[in-house]
Formats: sequence, C-alpha cells, structure tokens
Amino acid sequence: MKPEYKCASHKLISEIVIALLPEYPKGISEEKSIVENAVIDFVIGQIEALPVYLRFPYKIALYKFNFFSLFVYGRTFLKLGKKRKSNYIKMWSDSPLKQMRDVIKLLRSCALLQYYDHPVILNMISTKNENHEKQLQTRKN
Amino acid sequence: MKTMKNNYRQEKINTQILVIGSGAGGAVTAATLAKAGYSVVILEEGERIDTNTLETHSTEAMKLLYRNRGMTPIFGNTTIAYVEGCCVGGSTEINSAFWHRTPEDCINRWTKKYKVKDLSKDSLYKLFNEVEKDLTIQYSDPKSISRSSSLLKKGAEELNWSIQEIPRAQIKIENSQFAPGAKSSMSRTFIPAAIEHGVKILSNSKAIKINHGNGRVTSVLAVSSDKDSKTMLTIEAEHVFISGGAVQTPTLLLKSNINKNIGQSIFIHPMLKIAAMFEESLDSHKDPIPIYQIKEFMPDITIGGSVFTPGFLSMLFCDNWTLNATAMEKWQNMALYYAGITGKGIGRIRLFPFTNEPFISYRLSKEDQSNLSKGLAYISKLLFKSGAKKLFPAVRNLPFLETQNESDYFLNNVIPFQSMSLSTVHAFSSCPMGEDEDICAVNSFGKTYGFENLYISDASIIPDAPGVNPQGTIMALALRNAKYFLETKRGGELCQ
Repeated sequence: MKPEYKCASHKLISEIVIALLPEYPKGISEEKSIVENAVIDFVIGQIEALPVYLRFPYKIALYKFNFFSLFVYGRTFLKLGKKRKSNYIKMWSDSPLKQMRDVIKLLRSCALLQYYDHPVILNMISTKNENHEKQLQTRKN
Repeated sequence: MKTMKNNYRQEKINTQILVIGSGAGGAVTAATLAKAGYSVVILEEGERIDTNTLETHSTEAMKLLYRNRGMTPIFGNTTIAYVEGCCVGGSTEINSAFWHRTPEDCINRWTKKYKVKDLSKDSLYKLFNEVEKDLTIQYSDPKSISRSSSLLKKGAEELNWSIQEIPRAQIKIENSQFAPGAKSSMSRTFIPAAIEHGVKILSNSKAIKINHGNGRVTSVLAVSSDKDSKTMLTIEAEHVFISGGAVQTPTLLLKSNINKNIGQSIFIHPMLKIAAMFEESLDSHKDPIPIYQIKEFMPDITIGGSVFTPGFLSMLFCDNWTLNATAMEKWQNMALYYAGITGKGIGRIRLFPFTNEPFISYRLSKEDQSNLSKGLAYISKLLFKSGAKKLFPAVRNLPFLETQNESDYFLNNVIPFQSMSLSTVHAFSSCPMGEDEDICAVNSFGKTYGFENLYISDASIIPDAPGVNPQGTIMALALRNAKYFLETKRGGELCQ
C-alpha cells in the first residue's frame, strides 16, 4: 500500500527515492513494497527533520529539479518514464554545480542508509553472499 | 508569543538548582549537587528512551536519539555532517563510549593561553578517578576483538607505528558498544544516581529563554510537550547550570541576549572516512567497532576504526555512486576506518534570522586540509599493509585507490575542500573557560562572566580541541565546576 503524502514535495521525494534505489535482490516479492515504503518514510522524515532554514530552500530546490526537466525532456520529472528519470537523476548527480549534486546526494544517502540497513534487505544480501561463498568453496573442492 | 502562551497550560516550578541538559556535563552536575543536598531539576529537551532495547547506531535510533534525526550541517569551505544526541543522557547515548583522559599538553595550553586557574594534570586526573568509578571504564575482552581491529593492528605493527587500545565506558565488554544495553551511558549511571538523590527530570522540556536582570538569572522559560498538550514552564532557580552541549548552550544564551564571548568560536574534530575491501570475508556488521587508535601522528591526526553497517558503507559510496555501486556486492569483505584531525580552523555559532535556530559555520584551515590529506595517505598506507585490496575514500572524484603510490600522492598534494565528505561528532569551545575575560565566556570554574548565578558545564567550556574523544574531559570538568560551586557555597544557602 502506498503511503499517503502530506504535501506535494513528499510525492516528489518518493518518486526520486524509488528511482534512486538499487536493484532489489532476486527473490524478493511482497516484501519489496514494505522496504520501499520504509525507505520513503525514512527519507521524508529526514528531510522534515532538517533545520527550518535549510528545509525550505531544499524543498524549493526539489521543485526546481522537478520543473527543470521540462527543458530537458519536455515533461516534469514526475511524468517521466523510468529510464528518463534515471538519466535525469544522473545528470544532476554528475553536474559540475555542487548545489545540483547536493540535491541528489542528500536523498541518495538517506535512501541507501535505510535500504541497506532494512532487516529484509540485510537478511537477503547476507544469505546471498553466504550461498555464493559456499558455491565457490564447492567449486574449489 | 502572547497568543502562543494563551494556548499553553502554565506551570511554575521553584528549585535551588536548575540543570539544562542531561548529557555528560548535566548528569554529573545534577548528581553531584543533589548528593550534597541541593534540590535539583533537570530540563531535557529530548525523550527518555529505553536504550536497553535499541541498537544505538540503527536508523531507528537516529529517529529517536539524534538531534534533527542526525541532519545537522556545519557550513564552511565544505559542508560537514554533525551529529549530537537529543534524549535523556544526551550524546553519551549515541557515542562510541571511547574514554580518554585530557592530554597533558592540552591542560598546559589552556592554563597558558586561556589562563585557566588551578588546573593541573594531577588535580584533573583525581577527578577522572572519581567519575571513572561509576562508569566501568574497561578494555575489551580479547576474545571479542573484531577482525577489522586486528587488521588495523597488523598494519600498524608492520609499519612500526605506535598504536593504542582505547578503553570504553561499557558494561558488556563482549558486545558491540552499540548493542542494546551495552554502554554505561548517562541514562544508566549518573542519571539513576541523581534520581536516587531526589533529582527531578523533566524530559521533552526545552528551555527557550533565560530571563535575567542586574547580573542574575531570574527565571527560565521552557516548553514541555507530551502527546496531547504543551505546558509553558516558568522555572525559578537560585542557580542555573547550562549543559546543552557546544551548539545548544550558546544558542540558548544568544536567544536570551547573553552574548559576551558566546558562540564566537567553535572547534571540531573533522573526520574523513574510508572503506577498505579485503580478500577475506569480515562480517564487520556483526562486530564491535575497532578498538585501536594509531597514536603515531597524534595530536594532529588520529586513525581508527568506525562502526560498520551496509547502510553506512553505502552512504560513503554516495559521492561516487555510479562508479562504486557494484562494490556493494562485496560489502561483507569491507570495513570502515577514519582519519580524524584536531581542527585548527575556527567556527562560529549564530542564530539564524527569524527561525532562531543555530547556524553553525566552520572554516577548515589550510593546515586542516593538509592534515586530512596526509591522514588519507597514512591510513591508506596502513590498510594496504594490512592486506586491503582496494580502498574507497569519502572523496568526490576519487572513487577508489588500488596502490600505495596512488595514496602517497596526498602526502604532498591536498584534496580540494569541496571534494571531501567530512563528518564530526565532537564540537567544543563555543563558551570557553578561563580568566582571560577578553576571550572567555566563563571563569575557570564555569561561572558566566557578568552573572552571579549562571554556570556552564559541558563541551562548550573546553577552551579548544583536545584531539581525543571528549566525554572524559567534559565529565571531569563538570565535576570540577560542581565541587568548586559546593566549596564556595558550603555553609551558606545549602539546605540542611
């Protein structure tokens, strides 16, 4: 179930976060939405926890991010397809302008922190690596 | 203000001593004064959280225990991430619990430059003996030393570098200090002792203004919140001790128009993190953090190990995510380390217009830049000696290092300020102590200049960066201030 957003910036944050998340481990099914919602909730909480003098400029920067894609793709970020969203994010995160990079860096670092420390993901990546190690050991033997 | 007041319930409290903040400084102050017979109230902005059931470096802990959920930036020639606690027990609930006594060279510097009176190694270390009794300061169980620690030690020994195991304020030595209930933080030591002696703790209660006139604090205004309501507290105390930490203490004072040498300086220990990938699987996320620190380059540069989770590792990769994302697959072969420096730059705390929030700025000096760059070169050299195959520093456009030649480049060349991703958990000196009234905010025993009954006992009175984890210094100085207060007041107003 998708979380309800209290304001437009939360919807935008959630769309960026979804585009920022790495590929889920294979075999994940119904837990995927649990993880995704937990990450979105966490990131929104982190942005809302910023000092007020930083939170408002940051949200303005997010709106700029959304509308600037009109000049690149003729659509706002929210209306882009998955691939274009990903390319557009890459354009911002690799920008020579620090302010543009920082918009993405803040969201990415919060999203990855919660994603990789989520018990579902941690459990799955630990098991995956253990299985991989076992396979290597069997091959060596 | 008038409208806001009308929506709040009003309550008046009278006490002999009001302590604002319940961290390393506040808890010691409250417990010491309460034991001596004073009636004491502690105001704590944060909640009382049961850390017996919470891993204190988890994202859940960030939400509950950290100020701004860990989202406090320091602005300057590069942005530095700063974290501090905001809960009963303050930052002692979230720190690594490493325990250092104040280095002798710091004591000498403070007595000379800031003219701190009656401060010597002997006198301060006697106070350390007292606080250490209640904290179970101990070395780790040799059986529980993590693989990442052993690797740090191995590298240092091969290079013949001086290395030291750091003791910790820890109850369960076999566990990670971040494990539930592992640390002897304030909520498990000095706060229960204070409560036993009658101290009343008001959690979720934020001091918003100090009312004063004719060199005396007349009352403190605070807002106390619970789920359903807010209460405006007016606390009248004979003496007020502020122990909100290096950022919150000057913020409250500036809001209250008390500004002589307040927030004019702030020193920090900036830290550059690095991830090391080894051939073997380390499973660092299950281990305590590395317990060794490299002393070879102290006091300017300290090298050590950092707490590891896959989440923290991914955050470090953020600067070069496109290039390093695939390295996450090898997270079990990695550990996190840091090169920290004793900052030589200087910062300030100001109130942001309209919001009255603290705005923290800090300019790294050229020496800081050089030390951080050298720190990267040294830690890389050590980790390659320990067997690391690839290193990932938190530096933009420097995704990884594969040979020592690459890292040696930073012995003579500096990393651009804007490329460094730095963090800090140590801030001090925003209200320095000493007898030099031109640069100090409080006297040698924490009494605020120009006030009869206002004291500061926390990291903000430490005159400059000590170069070591400061919890011990904060606690010893708080005990020193409390004892001096008792000596000067004894026989006078103490209730019998």
